[in-house]
Amino acid sequence: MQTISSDVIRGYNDTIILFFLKNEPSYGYEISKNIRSISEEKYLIKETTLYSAFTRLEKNGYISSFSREAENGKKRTYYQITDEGRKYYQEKCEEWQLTKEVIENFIEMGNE
Amino acid sequence: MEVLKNYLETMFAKMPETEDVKRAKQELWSMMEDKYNELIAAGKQENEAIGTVISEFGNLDELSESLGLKKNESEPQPVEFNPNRMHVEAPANYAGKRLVSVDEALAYVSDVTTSRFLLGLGVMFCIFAPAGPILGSGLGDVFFLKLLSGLFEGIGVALLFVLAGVGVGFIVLSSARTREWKFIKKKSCCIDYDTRDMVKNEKELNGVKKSLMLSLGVVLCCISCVPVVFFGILFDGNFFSEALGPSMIFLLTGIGVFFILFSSAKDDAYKKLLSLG
Repeated sequence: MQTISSDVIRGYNDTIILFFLKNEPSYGYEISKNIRSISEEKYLIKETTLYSAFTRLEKNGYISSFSREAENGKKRTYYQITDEGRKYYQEKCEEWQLTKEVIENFIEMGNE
Repeated sequence: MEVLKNYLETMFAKMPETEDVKRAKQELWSMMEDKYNELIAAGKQENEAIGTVISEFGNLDELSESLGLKKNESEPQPVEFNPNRMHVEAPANYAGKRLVSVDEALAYVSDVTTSRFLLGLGVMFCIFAPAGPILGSGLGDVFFLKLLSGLFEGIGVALLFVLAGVGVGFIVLSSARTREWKFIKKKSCCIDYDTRDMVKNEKELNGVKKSLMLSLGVVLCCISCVPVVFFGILFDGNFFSEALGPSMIFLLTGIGVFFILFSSAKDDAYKKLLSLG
């Protein structure tokens, strides 16, 4: 099965993470698991990629973190989206629409 | 599980123990643990689970920004080094910073040392200069050389200018010596951990030498007036008390100042390197 290269998707890791956080706070592994399942295993995000995205998003004020204890007693860092983050997510969605429209013009599948 | 813990420890082995690094390690561990537990719960063999977790871990290079670091050790970058250092090209960039390699750091220290040595010589010769006329006129006053007193005074004055000229020459040379390293002062540069360790080590080793030279310099300056007092007591109004003694002040002070300037040369270079990010 073909998977997505991390180079292509780099600019949209933040958008993908915010997509999950806009509904409810979540933690690292849960997000990585959800990315895998929603992308139908076509995109597996690396732990380091995910963590660096978290710190970048937090630094820019798009998400904030808090610590919460899970059922099994494990302490986890949860992330939640901020208002800034919601705005940024919308902007990135619009940017993607435009990107998609533009790139679409240059894609020809299976033509000689 | 131990294997994963060791893997993470190894990845972070050379990282400094900052808050950012500790947090990153903690978070990454939490994610690895979750993934491992879930794979095991899904019926995977331990080895298979470990393999999956490690293969999906990623690369620490990605974290340098989150960790507030410019570079990490997971992938040593080959840095081309031009021994002539005529035009040093930026070999690599870390967060927009110019990386100074080990070779360059060593070359920088050596150039700063040479430059400071030349500066010390220059200042020393400039301080020596007034001793010329003093000795010249002193020699002219020695009874059997009286006939040539004009000549000696002339030589003395000429010596003043020659010594001062040589001194200024050395000072100019000294500043030329570090010109190509200006980028270290102007641009934001950084060094990696290996270089930092090396420089720290060298700095410590150099500590004794530095204090010795500094003390020697200070002592020389302090005792510079001893000969003139000594000769003044022993002899009355002859070459020793009128010329050699006073000129010794300049000679000893000159050498003393040279040692004082030179003593901190290497140390300053090490400090400059360590002050880089």
